[in-house]
Amino acid sequence: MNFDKNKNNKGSAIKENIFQYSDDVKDLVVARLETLPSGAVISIGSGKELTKNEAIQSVKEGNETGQKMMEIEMSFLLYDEAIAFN
Amino acid sequence: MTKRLLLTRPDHDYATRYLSAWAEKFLNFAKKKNYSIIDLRRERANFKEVESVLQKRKPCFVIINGHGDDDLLTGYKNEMLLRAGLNSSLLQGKIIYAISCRSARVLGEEAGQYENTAYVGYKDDFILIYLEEYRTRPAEDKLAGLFLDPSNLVAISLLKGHAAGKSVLRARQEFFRNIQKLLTSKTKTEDSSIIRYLLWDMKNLTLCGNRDKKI
Repeated sequence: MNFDKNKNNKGSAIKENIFQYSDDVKDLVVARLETLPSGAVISIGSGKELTKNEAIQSVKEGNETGQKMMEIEMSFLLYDEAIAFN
Repeated sequence: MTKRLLLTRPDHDYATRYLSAWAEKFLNFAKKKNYSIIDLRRERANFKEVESVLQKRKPCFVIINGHGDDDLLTGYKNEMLLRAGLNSSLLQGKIIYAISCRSARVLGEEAGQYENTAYVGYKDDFILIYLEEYRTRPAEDKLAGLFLDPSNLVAISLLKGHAAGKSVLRARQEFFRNIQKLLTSKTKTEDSSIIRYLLWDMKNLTLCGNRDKKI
């Protein structure tokens, strides 16, 4: 059988986002993350855990976790209740 | 006939320990309802044990606490438990609730195609925010509860005998209630900042397959 049942999938759940976010969005997400409670830990995708400062750093760097944080923020801003309860 | 519930609780990192601690709530409820519970914790949350239980003991309700990806669910130390195209047929005829990232996308879609099967999961990353100071006593973390209470409601509603579709709707409504609570002026700014993550989980909670399926 062509699979590895012991395969460690850690970190593979965060997929690349096809959108490029502007610096304005980056700044917005950083500002939002700064308002998280101190000591908050964000568990996001297959065992990846980030402190508030690590999340902010990810957004500033624009790495895949940072891209995900920006995707979440945009999803929040563009939220449509009708879709969620359909 | 006693109904069987299979639960996996790998507990190998903070996120899975949080899921495990909060699972006690619906486990206690299941016990009161006289379910026979097969609780695979830590090393026992492995491929061989899960396959064996699904084949031989035929639980009607399967709850997977763990990590995942589009096409799979994992157990202890991220060992693959279930994968689309490999062993998803073991889920046929059951209700599955996967508290993990992404698995509703491919694995859930595939399992939902089987007759009389309902797969509830998340179609993107499941986000959980908790407070570092509660890592050793996760059940007391009220911030995490804003995420895990609505998530648990899927399981509790199903255990009460509600249909899969209704259970997902009730959980989404609970997420929404938490969001509304955080929108009030009495809420501290730092707490209201988690609204976007609750909304994300609410939107990604998905049902694949038979929405009328009950335990």
